[in-house]
Amino acid sequence: MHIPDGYLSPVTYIPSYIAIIPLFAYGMKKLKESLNEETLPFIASLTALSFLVMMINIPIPGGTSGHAIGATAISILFNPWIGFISISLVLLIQALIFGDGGITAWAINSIALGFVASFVGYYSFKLLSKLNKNLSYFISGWLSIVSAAFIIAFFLGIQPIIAHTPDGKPLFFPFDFKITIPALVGSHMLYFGIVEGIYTFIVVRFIEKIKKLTFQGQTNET
Amino acid sequence: MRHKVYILIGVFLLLIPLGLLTESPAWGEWELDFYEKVLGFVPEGMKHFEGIKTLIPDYSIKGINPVISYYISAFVGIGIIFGFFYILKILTGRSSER
Repeated sequence: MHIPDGYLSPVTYIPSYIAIIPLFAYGMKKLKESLNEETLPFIASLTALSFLVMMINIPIPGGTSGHAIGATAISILFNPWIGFISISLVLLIQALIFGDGGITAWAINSIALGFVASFVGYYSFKLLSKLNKNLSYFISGWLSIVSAAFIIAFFLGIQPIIAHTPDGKPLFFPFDFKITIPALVGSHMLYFGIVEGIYTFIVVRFIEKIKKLTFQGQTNET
Repeated sequence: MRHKVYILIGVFLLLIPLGLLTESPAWGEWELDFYEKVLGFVPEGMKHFEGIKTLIPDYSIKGINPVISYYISAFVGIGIIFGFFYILKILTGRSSER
């Protein structure tokens, strides 16, 4: 999920904005190094695909819905810094234009769905691809979105503990870990992880086929 | 060959109306009256953010068919994304020529 405005206390979102500045600056540097005539259509298209796949809400039992992110596909095909920047850009557009996800929560959302998902996806792929490449697309996609869900569940779950009135009334998101972890991590393990895994498999396989024909992998290093 | 990458965008564009089939929100992204119902109150910090206006809230434009609104939203998003990368490329191209 994208955390909306009003869910996170300033004690959470102010440090998150400070933390994201150096990450973002380094990611932009990495992106600029990779961006050229050949790579631009791919990077822009993969980012657009992430935006589109997040519009495809899939209902699950229990009355909620969710979607894939697409961070792992970009990270495997280019590198996790580009995955991070691309997803952060998508989240920024969603927050500013569509009111999907908060502006105050943008940094936490980007750290979870962008940074954590990209790096977990990339390194689990690096590790697993030695064993079985096709399976590793799926598993790294699954792991990436489950990790992102865990980070979101963590930051939501600490809210009632760190921000409440003297008599214990939560000021921001009211449910703690006991609820957020099973709900978010569980649903991503069972459903959206599968979707992310399939998305990663299809998109990476497809793009690798075209990439081979277009240019010899010059960008696949961190 | 690289134009083939746009085939993927086309395929996903065909799929996006599926996202409108469910009324269920994402977990946690409930309306404020949900909290009123479950907790008996709405947390103070959540109240303040009601009414922040964005250009196309929830990917829907008043008076326009939801599917068409969804497509307009998709094209706005894709346009900004491609614009961002093209502008970045132009800017970095210039700075490296210096």
